[in-house]
Order: sequence, then structure tokens, then C-alpha cells
Amino acid sequence: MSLFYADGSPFVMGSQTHVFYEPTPAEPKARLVLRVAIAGLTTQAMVDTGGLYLFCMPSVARALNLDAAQALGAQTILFRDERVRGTLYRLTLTLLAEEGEDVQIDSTAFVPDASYEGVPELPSILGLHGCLERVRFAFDPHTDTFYFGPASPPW
Amino acid sequence: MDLKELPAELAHFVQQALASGTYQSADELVAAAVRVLRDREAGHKARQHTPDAPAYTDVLTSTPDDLVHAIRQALEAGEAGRARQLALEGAQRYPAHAELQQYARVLAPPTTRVVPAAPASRASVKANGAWLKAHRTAYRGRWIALRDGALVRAADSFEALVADLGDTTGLLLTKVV
Repeated sequence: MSLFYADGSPFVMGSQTHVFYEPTPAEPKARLVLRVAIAGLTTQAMVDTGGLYLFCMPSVARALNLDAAQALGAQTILFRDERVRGTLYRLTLTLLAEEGEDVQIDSTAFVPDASYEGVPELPSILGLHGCLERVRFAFDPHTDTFYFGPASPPW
Repeated sequence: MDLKELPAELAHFVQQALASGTYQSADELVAAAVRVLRDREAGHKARQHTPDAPAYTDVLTSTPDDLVHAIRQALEAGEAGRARQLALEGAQRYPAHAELQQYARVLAPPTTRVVPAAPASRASVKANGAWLKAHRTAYRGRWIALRDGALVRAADSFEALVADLGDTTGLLLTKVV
């Protein structure tokens, strides 16, 4: 890792490159898209610091065979000023490192009902509240690198 | 102030607060309490004037069902922090209430831990990232399966993608954006 405090302790534990997605005519917003594992399934998810929870797309959630007994079903949350119905879970999200170590986050996850599928043409979303709020992270546009680590250092 | 005029429970509380030394007299303590109540009442009225704002819920005086209702209202209003606070405080106050415990578990602040990454995993993460960046335009909107930076399959839906894949261990499955 190349990010350290003055005393030599690391600021983060892992990083991955190729995360910045330029705007395109089809997707007019620039995105930071990370490779992650959601409950063990490797996929992509985009960073949304204005977002809420780990917003897991229904198709991906179906493949996870999540335990309904551990879920809070029939919830409505406000997502991008729109009321969306779905189910709340507690899921393990892993930020996968191509340098350094992975970071696992035990996070709040929201899976919208199937009717919401495909509405945002996006992968799953990593919101700040309930997901990234205890993660140190930084982005270097020069090297297209996303750095991450736990907010409470393990060292 | 004559503490005998107060209900026994409140008089006991006042005596204890005075004994702690925070307040110099019963009058000072009661004045502070009145300020708190006025502030709370003002906050309550302000919330009532805001359309769609959930009503103020006092965890100490609410039933478990009231709290569950308030949590759901907070979620619907976009007040995720309030929903978490109600869930955590409600679960502490009603430890036997299964639904409040479930809300507290699910809405609790996230926790993090570092997990060692194997060299092969690091290499795969890097190769998959490079592939996605290079082929983004050609595969936009499609679902793909990648293994170590090589395309395994592309499909128009997640279900079609995984239909005949069998074991998906080691594969990255994603919609290309």
C-alpha cells in the first residue's frame, strides 16, 4: 500500500484499479465501480456516497438464496426520492483487493422487489449509510485506484 | 420547593439528582427539567408542521409495536439514522421482542474486518478489472461471466447467464455498465 500516516502505519489495507467509469451517452454520470463479493458471489457494485445501505439488485440476490427467516420483508425505503419496496437483510460484503488485503463489511442490505429490477440500469450500489460508513476510502484519479481499509485499524 | 407535593417517584428522582451535586437546589433542577420539556415540546410541534415527517417517538413511553411502526415510518421518510436509533434503543428496552431485535441487528452500524487475500485472488481481481474496462462499450447492458480476465459467457439476463454455468465459484458475474 502506498498510503501511510506519518508514523508509518497504513491508512488503508487494500486497493483496486480500473474503477473509474467515464460518462457515456448511455450512462451520463461518471461512476466508481468496484469488484466485490456479496455473500460470496463475486460481482460489481458502484460507490454512491449519497446512497443508503448495500442496494443489491434482485437478480443477484436470487442467486444468493438468502434466508427469509433472517430478513425484514415488506419494507419501504426512500431511494433517490422514490419510495421503493423490498426486503432488508444483514449481508457480508467484501471489497476485493488486487494489492494488499480484502476488507469484509457486515452491512445493512436492501433488496428491492422484483418489479424494481432493471429500473436503474446499474449494478448493485454501495451506499454510505449502513455500508461504507465505517470504511476508510480514497480515490486517486491519476492512477485510477480506489483504496480501502477498516475505519478502526487492526494494527 | 416542597418535594412532598411531587409524586413519590419524581420526588425520589429529584432527591437523587440533588445528591449527585449537579444541581444546587430543587428549584434549579426543576427549572432545567422544564427547559428540557419545553424544548422537546417545541421539537414535537415543529415536526408536526412538516408534511410527511414521522411523529416524534419516545422510546421510554412507547410500546414495542409503536416502535416498529416508527422505525418503518422513518425508513419510508428517508430518515435512516432515526430508524437505526429507534431500533437500537427499542431493542435495548424490549430485549424479548423478536421483531425489534431483528431491526436492531439488521440496521446496526456496519462492522469491518481485514481478510487476507490470496495472490491468485488479487491477480484475478486485477485481470477482471482490466477486461471490464477494455470491453465496456462492446458489452454494455449485457450480463457476463469472467474468470481471471477471460470471458466465459455473455447473456441478456442474469438467469440466462447462470442457467448452464454450474458451479460459479471463482467467476465474476455482472451486468456491464
